Amino acid sequence: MINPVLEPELLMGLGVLATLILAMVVRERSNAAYWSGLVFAVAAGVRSYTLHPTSHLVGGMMVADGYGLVVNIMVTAAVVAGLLLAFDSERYTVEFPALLLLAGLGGMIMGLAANFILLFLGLELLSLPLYILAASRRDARSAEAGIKYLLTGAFSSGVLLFGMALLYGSTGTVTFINYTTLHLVPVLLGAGLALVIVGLGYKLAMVPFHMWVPDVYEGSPTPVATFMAFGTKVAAAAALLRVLAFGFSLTSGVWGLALGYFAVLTMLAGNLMALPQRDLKRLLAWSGVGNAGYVLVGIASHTVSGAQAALFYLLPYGMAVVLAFAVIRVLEGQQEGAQMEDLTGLAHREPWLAAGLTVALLSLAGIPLTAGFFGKFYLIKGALQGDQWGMAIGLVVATLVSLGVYFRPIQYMFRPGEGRPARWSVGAAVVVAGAGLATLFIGVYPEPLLHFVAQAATFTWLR
Amino acid sequence: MSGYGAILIYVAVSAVLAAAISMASEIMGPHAPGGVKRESYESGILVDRPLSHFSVRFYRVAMLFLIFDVSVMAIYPWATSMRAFHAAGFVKALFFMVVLAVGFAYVWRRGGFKWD
Repeated sequence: MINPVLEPELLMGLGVLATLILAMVVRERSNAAYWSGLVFAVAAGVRSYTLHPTSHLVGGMMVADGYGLVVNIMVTAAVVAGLLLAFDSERYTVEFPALLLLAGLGGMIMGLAANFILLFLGLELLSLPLYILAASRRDARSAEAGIKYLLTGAFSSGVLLFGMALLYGSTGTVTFINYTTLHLVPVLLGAGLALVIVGLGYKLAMVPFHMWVPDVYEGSPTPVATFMAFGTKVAAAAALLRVLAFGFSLTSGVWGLALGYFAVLTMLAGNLMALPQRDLKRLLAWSGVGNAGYVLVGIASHTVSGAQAALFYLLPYGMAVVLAFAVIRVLEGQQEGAQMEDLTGLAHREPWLAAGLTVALLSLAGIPLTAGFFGKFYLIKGALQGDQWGMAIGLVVATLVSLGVYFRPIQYMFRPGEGRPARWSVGAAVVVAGAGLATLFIGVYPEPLLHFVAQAATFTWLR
Repeated sequence: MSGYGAILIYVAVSAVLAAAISMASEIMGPHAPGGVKRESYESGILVDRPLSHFSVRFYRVAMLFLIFDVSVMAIYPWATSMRAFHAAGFVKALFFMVVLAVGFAYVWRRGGFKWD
């Protein structure tokens, strides 16, 4: 009765119900809801991997092709990382796993959506739990993060919806998979595409729609910020790539150039603004803005290898940022947030933690032997295949700037002195070990993963 | 006439019923004009002192009511064409209601309906 290609989403939805039921029957401070959320999220990710991709539309609304399944796997990985980091903590309520799983379900739906209505539903399902989670720490900072995210997010949803309405007016259908065969009304098309790019670019943290990112990441609980940095970005980038490369691949003249300028602006602004940050979460937030720019390069280059590189880059970026947030989680203990000075002497006190953060920062900087190097390499390759020299040069310049960003925390770790003591938890240790080893492994032997992702993101109608 | 006749009868019956009930209360009820009856009433919130504080719990109750009310509204389109969806559609609608019930039970168990 239920289409088997929807089984990952079904597992995630059942996980939400199971964690909610557990949240009401078990006592406060119980880990049962976390465990069940973890089991269901892992099951959804594994099922996404084992599922045979098809390009058939399900109910005219979603398509579980390889691309959507790769997005599913990445979003579930982000949920698992968020849950692991929130484990064993007395500060997070029993609703935490249910809300995180619900946000993950929204992200998965965004990856599969072939229809604007479903895309919008997925985006709201992703956003609404995150508004609550951002404010879930119940102090002034967290409340500020929640209200800022809610107000700006609701506004961006409105912009996105207006863009979708204009595109519907231009094409006469909300299913954007077969736009290429339709007669289009150019004026409405341009305006609609611009608004859709703005709406999704907000979630992706595209400059100049990025203002919320540092404040929200700083104020949110660290596990929530981890999910936002990886899961939300994956879902938004995947939806943007799907809409532009699937739906409007023949009208790339309308959006390609504009998106290219946005990409260069985002890369440079994100990395330049990351330079003076002293709060590690704010630094990662600005770095996330810069990395969104790198992903946009792949989308805007509008080539097969560009699309593959954009999808592939999300993985090294996600693993590195999850790793860095896990280190912050270990450092911060009961008091949220970590400053640059807290890292002092970390290399001598906690060599494994320092090694983890070093791997994460080197990967974000794109140093060889880490996954980030191959991510950037394929992005530049994609941009050059599309004859987009400006974007390739912008990417290199932004990477040079980012070296200054990422080497400063490493320098602090090797300074003598006493920083903040580390408080390991099992969940954080699993995340640090898993993400660190995966980053190194892909940096040395990227071939299988690259092949897997490239298969998924091969849109044959791209030039 | 055919299909709309039932609606006409329904409108007529409800009008007669409403009129009968109001007249009955007018004839049989006690009459005590003045006092609080002259003040305006708005969902239990005192509107004569708009600057005063009132409990934030009003919003919680209103929000919970809205959530479940709107969700239940989604059942109506299915109900009107229930036979066209056969058993599979029934099971799906049932699943929707199970999700709603879990949410309702959750709010209840977590004390969402308690005033204090």
